[in-house]
Amino acid sequence: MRAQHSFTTEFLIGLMVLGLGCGGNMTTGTAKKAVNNKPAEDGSCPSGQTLCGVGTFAICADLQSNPSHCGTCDRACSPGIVCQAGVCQQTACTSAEIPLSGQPTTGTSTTGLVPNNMPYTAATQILADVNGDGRLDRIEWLIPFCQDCGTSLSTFRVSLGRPGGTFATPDAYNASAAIGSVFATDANGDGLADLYVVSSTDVDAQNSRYHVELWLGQNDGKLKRSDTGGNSAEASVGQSNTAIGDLSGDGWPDLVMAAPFSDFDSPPKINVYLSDSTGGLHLSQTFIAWSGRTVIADWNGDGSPDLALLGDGMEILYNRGDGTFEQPLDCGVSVGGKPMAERDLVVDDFNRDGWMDIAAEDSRNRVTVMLGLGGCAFSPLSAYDIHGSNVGFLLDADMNGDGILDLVSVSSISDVSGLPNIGVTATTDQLLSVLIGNPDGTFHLQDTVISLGPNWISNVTIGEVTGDQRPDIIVSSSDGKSGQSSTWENVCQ
Amino acid sequence: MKTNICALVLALLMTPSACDSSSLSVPSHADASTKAKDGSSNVDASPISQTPSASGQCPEGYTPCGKGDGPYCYDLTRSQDHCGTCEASCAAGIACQAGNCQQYGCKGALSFKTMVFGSTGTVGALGDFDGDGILDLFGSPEADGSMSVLYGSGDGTFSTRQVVVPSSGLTSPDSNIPVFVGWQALAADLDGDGHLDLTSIQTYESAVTIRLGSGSRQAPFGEPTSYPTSTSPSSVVLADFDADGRLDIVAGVSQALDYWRGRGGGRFEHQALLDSRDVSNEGPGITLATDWNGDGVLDLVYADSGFSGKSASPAIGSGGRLHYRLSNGDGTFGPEVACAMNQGIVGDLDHDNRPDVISASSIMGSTLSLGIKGCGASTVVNISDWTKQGGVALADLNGDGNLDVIVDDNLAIMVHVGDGKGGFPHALTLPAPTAGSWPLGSFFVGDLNRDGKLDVVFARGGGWGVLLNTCQ
Repeated sequence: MRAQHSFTTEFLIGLMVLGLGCGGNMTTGTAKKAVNNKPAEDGSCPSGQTLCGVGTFAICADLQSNPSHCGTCDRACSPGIVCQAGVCQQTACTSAEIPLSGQPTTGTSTTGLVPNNMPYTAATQILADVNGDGRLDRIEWLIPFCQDCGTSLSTFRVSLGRPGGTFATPDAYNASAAIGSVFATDANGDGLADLYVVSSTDVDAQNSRYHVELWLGQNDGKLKRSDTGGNSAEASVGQSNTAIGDLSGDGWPDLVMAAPFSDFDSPPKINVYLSDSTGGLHLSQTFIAWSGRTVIADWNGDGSPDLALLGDGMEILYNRGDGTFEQPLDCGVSVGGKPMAERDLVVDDFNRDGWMDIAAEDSRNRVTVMLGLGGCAFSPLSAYDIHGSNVGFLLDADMNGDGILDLVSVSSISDVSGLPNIGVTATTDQLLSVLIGNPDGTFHLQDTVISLGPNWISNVTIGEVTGDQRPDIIVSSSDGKSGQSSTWENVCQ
Repeated sequence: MKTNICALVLALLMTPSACDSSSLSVPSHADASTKAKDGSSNVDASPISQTPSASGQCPEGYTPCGKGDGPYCYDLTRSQDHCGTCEASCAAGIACQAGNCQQYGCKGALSFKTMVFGSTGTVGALGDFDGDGILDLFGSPEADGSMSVLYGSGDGTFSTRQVVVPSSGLTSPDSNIPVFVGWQALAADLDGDGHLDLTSIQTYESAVTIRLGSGSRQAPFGEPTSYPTSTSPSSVVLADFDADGRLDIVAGVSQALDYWRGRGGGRFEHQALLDSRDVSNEGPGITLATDWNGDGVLDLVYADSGFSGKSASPAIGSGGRLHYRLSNGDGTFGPEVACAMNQGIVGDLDHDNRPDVISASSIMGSTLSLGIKGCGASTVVNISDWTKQGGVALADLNGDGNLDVIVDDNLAIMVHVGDGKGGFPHALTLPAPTAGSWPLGSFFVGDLNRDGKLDVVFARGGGWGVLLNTCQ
């Protein structure tokens, strides 16, 4: 359960970095996308812009100001950090440690929480700038925990970021059904973050209809539901492994999700939906494969985004360059002990060598790092101890401004003795650990351990929200009665 | 202490009848009887191997093989283990003549004659225990877990049985049902006397047990010697890791691998407990000795967890991730290296002198990881019509110089014929000879009937038998 939720967060951070900056100079247009960050036919870019990417995926980016391509192509600043004069304006820490300042939760102990109480109080969130004021805004929705969660789960709330790290009173919006996930990307190319809201309704016992709605960010901070750019698709119940990204290079986000369940003898399948010229989604390909989490990233270095399906192990579907994919290739790798899909993990290029890496909780309460060598190949594994045990969340960001990605984990000190096995962990404290990335691709554990308090953590997100150009950590939690959101400010010097 | 008690119990349980040789009712084949050829190399006047002189010199016609403090002198024209050149061994039962392994190269397609010998049983090792030139079988032909030598008749059947370790006699507390005792046994000449010795591990015993072979059918092994371990080993490997010409022992135990160096005369000296950060409390899964980095020294490759191969041969889909420790060739190993790659069967399928691994795929079929350097394969291929779970062995069954794969697919035994480039363009499907149950399929490959063709002994849940190679 935790894994699903943390995935959503992890994935979104990746998307925000990819999506927002890439579309920075597009103009608005819904019926037909006027993509003006694409190079001219001769491959040239306007003055002051640089060609990033290859083939249909090439874009022109202003390396002076584009936070996804800051200084050089694909050099992304931490979420919410401004790119100026080709330099991420993150405050570099001179101290060895990264202190975080915040208030631990003080609610009642979560011992004996009834899971069915949770959906109404436990939020998950993403951060994205929907009004273009340069500050990250918080988009929250409630976690659909149970089968009969009710209509309130179709609501999502947008709190605009304000100077000083606070958020304005949220505006509530209603999606057409219970929300499963929300993705931020600049779908219409106006430089503001838009939201793809994926919600679902039950079709029968096995299948749900997933509705993909596009909500457009506007300068006044109010979201506007778009008539285009979305669609609905049927898939098996409980599939939260939706992934959204531009797979074909046309600028419109495409969609990957599990195929409908047909019968127990049929192998699991995943569907790839590609966008048309209005952003509407159409089924393109179906593959026999299972994915607990789908990651969109370039695994073979050809410049087109591939699909990594994390199920029992890892399968890669290589993009042929046009949004169609080769048959799944099972890499024959695993993180050990449990299926990859059940691990808290984060996928990113930690050591910035151009190859995607994976960090995952392992069977021994550590974080194991798989440094990619391209394709299915990985370097020897490294494992790092963290504070506490039972990793619940794993995220990455350059927390100290040294240009190297760091890992943030939330784990718990738990005592489940004497409790019936109802899937609830009696928790005495939640701990936040920072594994600081070293230039050689290794990590070291920060000594300072941060107690987040006893409450159940429903979401952890990293982004610069306090205005000091240091990435902060936003934690959503619940004591079973009400949800709380707390900001842990990065106060490194 | 525990070991000694077990040994005592076993000794007490050895009843005269259990130790008697008894005939197994097995079918015989007039067309497969090639016994007349047997033993010719064995009765040769000069020995195949000799200890070197005090000055380390070998007599004329002999070549020192092995390094360090334990080289032996071998007649490379006749030595099965060093045929033509040192370390170039012939497959089990294949003779070495004039420095060439006398394996037959099939002219046509592979074919096998299936013989089923029993509805229960497990197989541990193939070897010529009595020195008559015919491969024998060390195994447990019955469900009671007793370990016996089954003497080969030379036609692919096994006519005579000698019990070595009787059934444990252990029964479950609330019934009289015998407790299944898993074991693994390896046959190799540890003391250089020309007779195969036994190295074994057994469930409930925290030890590696050595029994020195006598070559006699009446009393094939001497008294057991136990090398205690911290926990009951999950796996055991014999290999010359320190490159001194003598076999060493590595046994997988809880969160570690235990290492003894061979000291000659069948004696072993404890060298190190190799701690592992990943190996499970139950010990490692599949554990292998193979030259991982191509430096000519055998390295240690093991899975951190999963099905170990005890009571069976390695299987696809046995679980765990591949780990290795490179041998420094001097009795020490480098640090443990953990790979993201799933553990599987290791061999060089494409002659590039790099290890290749066959492991299970997530959805269906097998994954071939070819050209591995460190933890990374240069090529990964999925073969969707292979099984994702079943016993497997690698061997050049058709004698074309390329490794083939024999794998238990539950409903059938599949032989995938290798092209030497990592491809398997042809497959032979043998209908399942017996009922199957997990663990599916152990395979042991050797020439049982001295026709130069490699035969296969199979043991699967529902019985055991032989696939006699009948290729033309």
